[in-house]
Amino acid sequence: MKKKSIVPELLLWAIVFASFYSVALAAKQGDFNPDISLTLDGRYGSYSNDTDYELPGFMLGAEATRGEQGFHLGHNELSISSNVDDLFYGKLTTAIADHEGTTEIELEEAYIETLTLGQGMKVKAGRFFSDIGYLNNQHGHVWDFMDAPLIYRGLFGNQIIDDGVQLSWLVPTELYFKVGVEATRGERFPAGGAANEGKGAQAAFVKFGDDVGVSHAWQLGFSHWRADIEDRESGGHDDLAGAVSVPTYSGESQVSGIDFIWKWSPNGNSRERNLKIQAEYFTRKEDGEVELAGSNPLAQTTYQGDQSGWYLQSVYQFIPRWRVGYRYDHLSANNEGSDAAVLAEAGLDSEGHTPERSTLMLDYSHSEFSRIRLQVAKDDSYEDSDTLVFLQYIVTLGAHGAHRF
Amino acid sequence: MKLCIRSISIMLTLIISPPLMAKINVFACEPEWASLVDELGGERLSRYTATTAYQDPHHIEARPSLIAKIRRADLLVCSGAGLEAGWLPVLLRQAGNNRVMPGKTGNFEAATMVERLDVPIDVDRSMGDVHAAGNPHVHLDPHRIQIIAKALLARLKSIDPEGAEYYQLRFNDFTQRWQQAIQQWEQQAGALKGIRIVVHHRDWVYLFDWLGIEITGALEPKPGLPATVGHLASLKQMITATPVDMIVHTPYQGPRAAKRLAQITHTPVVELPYTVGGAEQVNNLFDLFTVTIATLKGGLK
Amino acid sequence: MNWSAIDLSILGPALIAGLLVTATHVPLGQRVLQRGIIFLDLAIAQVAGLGLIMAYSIGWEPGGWLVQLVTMSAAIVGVLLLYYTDKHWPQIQEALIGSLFVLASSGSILLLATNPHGGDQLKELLAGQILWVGFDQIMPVAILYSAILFLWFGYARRANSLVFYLLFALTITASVQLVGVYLVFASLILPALAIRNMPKYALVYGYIVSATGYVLGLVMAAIFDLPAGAIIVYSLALTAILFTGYWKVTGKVQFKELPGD
Repeated sequence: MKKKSIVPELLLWAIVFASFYSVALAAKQGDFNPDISLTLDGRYGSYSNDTDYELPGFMLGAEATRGEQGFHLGHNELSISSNVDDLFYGKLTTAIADHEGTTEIELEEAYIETLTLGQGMKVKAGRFFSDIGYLNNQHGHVWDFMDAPLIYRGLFGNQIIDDGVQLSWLVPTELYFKVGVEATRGERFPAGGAANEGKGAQAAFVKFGDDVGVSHAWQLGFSHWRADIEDRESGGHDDLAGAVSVPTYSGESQVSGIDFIWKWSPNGNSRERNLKIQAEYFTRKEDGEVELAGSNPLAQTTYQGDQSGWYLQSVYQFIPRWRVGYRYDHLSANNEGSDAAVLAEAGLDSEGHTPERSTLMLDYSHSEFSRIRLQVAKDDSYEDSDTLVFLQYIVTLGAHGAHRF
Repeated sequence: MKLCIRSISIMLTLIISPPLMAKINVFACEPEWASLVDELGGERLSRYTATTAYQDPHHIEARPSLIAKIRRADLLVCSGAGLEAGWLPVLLRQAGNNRVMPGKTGNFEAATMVERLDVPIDVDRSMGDVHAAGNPHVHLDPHRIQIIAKALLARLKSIDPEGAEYYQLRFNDFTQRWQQAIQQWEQQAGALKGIRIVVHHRDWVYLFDWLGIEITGALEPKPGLPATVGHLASLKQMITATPVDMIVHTPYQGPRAAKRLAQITHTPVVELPYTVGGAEQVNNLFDLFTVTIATLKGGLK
Repeated sequence: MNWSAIDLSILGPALIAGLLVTATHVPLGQRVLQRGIIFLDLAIAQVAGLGLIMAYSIGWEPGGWLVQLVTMSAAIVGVLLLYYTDKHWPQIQEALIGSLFVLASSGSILLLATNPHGGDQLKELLAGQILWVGFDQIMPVAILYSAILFLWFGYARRANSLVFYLLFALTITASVQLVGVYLVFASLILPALAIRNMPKYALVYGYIVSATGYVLGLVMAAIFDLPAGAIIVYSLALTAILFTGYWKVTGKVQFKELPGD
């Protein structure tokens, strides 16, 4: 849930200047200063459809929009991380975004991680991106496309971030084999209401990975997330009387997923050319009740939700600094309930439509710290096909952010 | 029956964890350190190399296989001084192996054992990907390798005290051969003193410092940025005014920019192995310098 | 009592094998108990064992993929057979399952009759060889089980009998080679029995009961120098009984009868 900013813009600029100054001071890694990095992200968008965005069959969270048209800011992030002592590593990431004229500061990550438990074990606690799936734990500025895959938007409201604890274990096998479990609060979308006194959601995942020769590497993951949900809100609708009623869901939710990624580069040297192929599949079952809060008389229905979807994307760097990528998304929803009209009002009626989307992108990275991207998509999320064109810049200032596989 | 089970258990214990046969797991970030580890550690070590001569050590993917290997390592031997800053910290955090975290005995940073060149006064990103702790490519100076070998010996002894004598013997043998080889190389490289070379990236600083070769320019306009046509043009101007003897690049740097510049300035272009495995005949550190010096002399003709 | 035998480097892979078997057998066991097809798993495990022995008798390499293929095919054929008989002659299904078990066991004995190591191999099949499992054997099982768990939790509600039986066959084929026929049965049924009346978090409790049983059993096998497979069956029974006893004594759980009782 976003908090409305109470920080005046002046203080915001003070924070930005202070971080620039600290970046200048903290030249070396291994200094006592934390690693500070600032990501600046600006965009220009153009759509062919004027209608509101919908994803029939899925209750969308507040974050799951296609972005604004014209010039607008994307996801600017300030991230501070460091080893705390020899036992812990800590990281904080705030996203500074502008929504309809108001600057909002959102705490995206604020967690500590153990460094020296040994035996391949690690505990992470605080607010963090869940490690289910492949893309979920990556920051938006690292993505190969400007926006999240459609299944992430539909099921997770872009990414699952929650407050809680994670325990993971790297099994001492030759192959990379990691197992982890998470227990979290379950208040943020797609969970809701912090059920069970703030212990509403749990997750489990396994990841395998290895090299094939010098030029290829792969990673395969299976994950499961479940939550008890009380009053999960999604985007509001207007009913005929003009009052805004907000669909809310209470019940159980279970998500299972597979993710797979394959990377190739000649001789393992990814600077010249490299190819990445990535696919994820998720399926969700929900069982509970949907209400249109604020409607009078109170409209409600039982609801058995059955949604699934996948995406397949491939990115190829054909000469140094230039990359081209293609992504295909495909979703399907088959929801049932006692009152079809209420389901439809809540956006849960698939309307016999299969949402899909094709995206093509081209980006140029002058160095590993700056990138400019052009992205074109044919979006069939709902019945009116939409053509989206985006231009985006992403620059990172500060610490040499090391990224995951 | 019970005897049978007991004897099988004993056999298994011997096979799985005998102190006599347990090898120390060493994770070497680059092939040059892998080679040094082999020289000093021999049969007592089981060594894994993270990168090859055909990969840019600044930019390695943090692959799952590396995480699994680091998890089992007893000793990490890397260059340090920021060379692996783009990928090693993430791997260390994910591997959860407290023996090899920075500052621990199991974490050996070769570049911090010797005096470094090119330490910048101020640093900022507009200067490109500059290493704030000085140039980390320290393996290209045989004198520095000797110093690092001594430090590595001490580290091996502290991790595996039972092997102390074994390592000492191997070190003495290595030192003898190495010092002899250095004398030979310095003799052979006499003709290379004072020649002028254009490099691709400033990874040759230590080699040329030892051999007395001048680095006149670099194909990269700034460290980490690939060569651009505009920069080639300015290099061409400079070379026309003051000619250089050759252009040099590594196996992991695409030869196109170097070849182009060679064409337009009629200068010989030469690929040097840079590290162990960078050319067919380069199987260890001795070969590395022998072949490098021979190739440089060949380029002069 | 040999306390020094508790060495993680020896017991480590066995422990992980046990946890892997726990991961799949607790949820599958719940379903087996619900459907009342208790002896199906014994029969299928024995059929898979027969497949394994057939493959060895032909002389194929143990651990080779061809052997795995034959074993898995045997299990799937057995499962399809029982699915078919269930559809057509449900009244005598229990008798047919028992007959299949006995036929498969006798088949193994016949095949191994001329083999001097026959007795050992049979014992291995029944009591398993969990202590000799290595990490390289564990990896393919870990990947297979992750895929099976994904299919299970992702599609549990939609699973019809056939899908369940097939997933079951795949799981049992892998686990019978790790832990043996008796331990497969014990891992499926004992924890499921313990948790059958839990109103909430049944699966979590099932995992805890099963994992505890495995750890306890492995430790005892190490200390007392006994066959691990057999003693883990007892430790699983012990943890299941203690668990049930605890809930009965504290009176928080209402004990219902199984459907059809």
